[in-house]
Amino acid sequence: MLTKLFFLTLLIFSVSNAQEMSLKKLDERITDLELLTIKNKINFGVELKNIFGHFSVNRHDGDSTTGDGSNLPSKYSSAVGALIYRLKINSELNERVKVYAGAQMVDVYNGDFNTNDYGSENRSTQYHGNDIYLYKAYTNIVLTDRFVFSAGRLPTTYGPPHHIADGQEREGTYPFIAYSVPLDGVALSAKWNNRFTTRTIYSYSKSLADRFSPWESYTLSNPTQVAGSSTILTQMFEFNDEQRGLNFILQGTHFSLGAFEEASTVSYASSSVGYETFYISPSGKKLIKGNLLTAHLELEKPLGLPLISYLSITKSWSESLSNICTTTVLSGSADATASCSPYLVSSNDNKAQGVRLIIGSNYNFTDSLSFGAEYMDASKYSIPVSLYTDNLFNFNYLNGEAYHLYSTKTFYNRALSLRVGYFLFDKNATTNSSQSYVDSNENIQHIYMNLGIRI
Amino acid sequence: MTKSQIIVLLVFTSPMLQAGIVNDFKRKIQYHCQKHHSPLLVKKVLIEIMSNSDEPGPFTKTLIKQCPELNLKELKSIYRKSENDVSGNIIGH
Repeated sequence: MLTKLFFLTLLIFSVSNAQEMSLKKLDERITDLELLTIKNKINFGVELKNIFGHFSVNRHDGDSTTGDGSNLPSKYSSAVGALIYRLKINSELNERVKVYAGAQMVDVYNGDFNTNDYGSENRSTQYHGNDIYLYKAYTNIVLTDRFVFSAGRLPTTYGPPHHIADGQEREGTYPFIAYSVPLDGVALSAKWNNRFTTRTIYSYSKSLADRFSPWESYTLSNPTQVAGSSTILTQMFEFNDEQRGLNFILQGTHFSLGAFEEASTVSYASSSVGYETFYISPSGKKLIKGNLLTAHLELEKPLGLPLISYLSITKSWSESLSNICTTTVLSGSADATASCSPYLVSSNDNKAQGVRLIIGSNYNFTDSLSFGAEYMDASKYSIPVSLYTDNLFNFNYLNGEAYHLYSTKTFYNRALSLRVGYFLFDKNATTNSSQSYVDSNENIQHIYMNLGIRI
Repeated sequence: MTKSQIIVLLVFTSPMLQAGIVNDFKRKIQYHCQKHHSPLLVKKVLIEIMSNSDEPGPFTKTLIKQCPELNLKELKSIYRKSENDVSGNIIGH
């Protein structure tokens, strides 16, 4: 009896001991995981896109304007490749303070073999040669359950419906038609309920004459004056019903842009002329002011159909506050007279209005295969502020009418996508060297293939 | 350390182990199904979805059984939305 009791006690003791050992091991493993999670405050994501396209251009009789003054033939074609690489970095101090950043390199294939004319500080283009630059870098600070304060280079590029063609989720805040350029500023977002959000976004800029003396602005020579600052104020109202698949954005923007610094470039003209010097200068301290009103409606699975339909429309009112004067002086020649015209309006009126429109649908045959169609229209004086896109052909920078057909096949839960498409574009206006609108009459056809991977 | 101590430890540390995407995915599943699911089940489903399989895994099948409004395609779409919502693509999200 005593022996039995002894063995029973021993058994209980060893089971309890083994249980304690396994619990200790479990605790150790959980602690390791906990440490790893606390240490991992930074997440990385990568995106790589290779785009290949062919353009076929037909300039109609009587059209002698190319905008940059170059003498192109009436018919020509060209093939272009482009590479986009993005590194996305998200980091969080805690649930209330987070920092988001994205760096990218966008270049045409071997672009620097022929030119290196890509300034890394020129934000009006996403093509910066071999340079890697930040297209977003900002912090979100949760103030209360309702209010979030954001500051930095805000995610103002590649907004809806830009993401739909590649079967991705939304990649930017502003509707693509309204604005797609990196913008530094501050924002206050308010989430009123699960569906309704408002955002007030303010951006200010002032270029410095001397970065070691940040109180100094640069001056303009004719007439002599200090260049003005730029301000952009945007108010956004967003209604998003995930269950019904409805997203509606209404956005108003007031902008006032200061003058750019006077510049001159020397370039080789031809063997008979030699070098030429090109001067560009604004006549006033402010370039332009205006307003933009934008509406974006997106419906996912309308009437139960496996498609996404969208409509984006923006109306712009602009008033030019300066003339842009340009002078081209050939080497060995006397100084030429400057030609001046108002900025981003017509050459004989300093006020303009314009409308831009995108309407489209993307039909999902399966979860990984879709077909899309888009119609785009931009009137002559509509402001072009959507300069960053993952397409070689950027309609939102152009004026005219365009049709876009494409098909997208995705793999590995949409991490890999292959899109082939066709654009047909009738261009009816362009800007001249002084950035005034002039008539144009070109027909451009573009076929492309876009291979993207996201990790 | 006793079992009860480990349970207490798990209760207090689990929010720290949850990345933003887990919370967002859980919230979206709850919103779609209009009912509460076991947090552990939702996490297991998230792991299965993140492994990019074309077939639903055992936990995904269990969740779909509990919430017939969902299917694998829908769950993948919810996951992508969650991933996007915590990626900082939208100001103030």
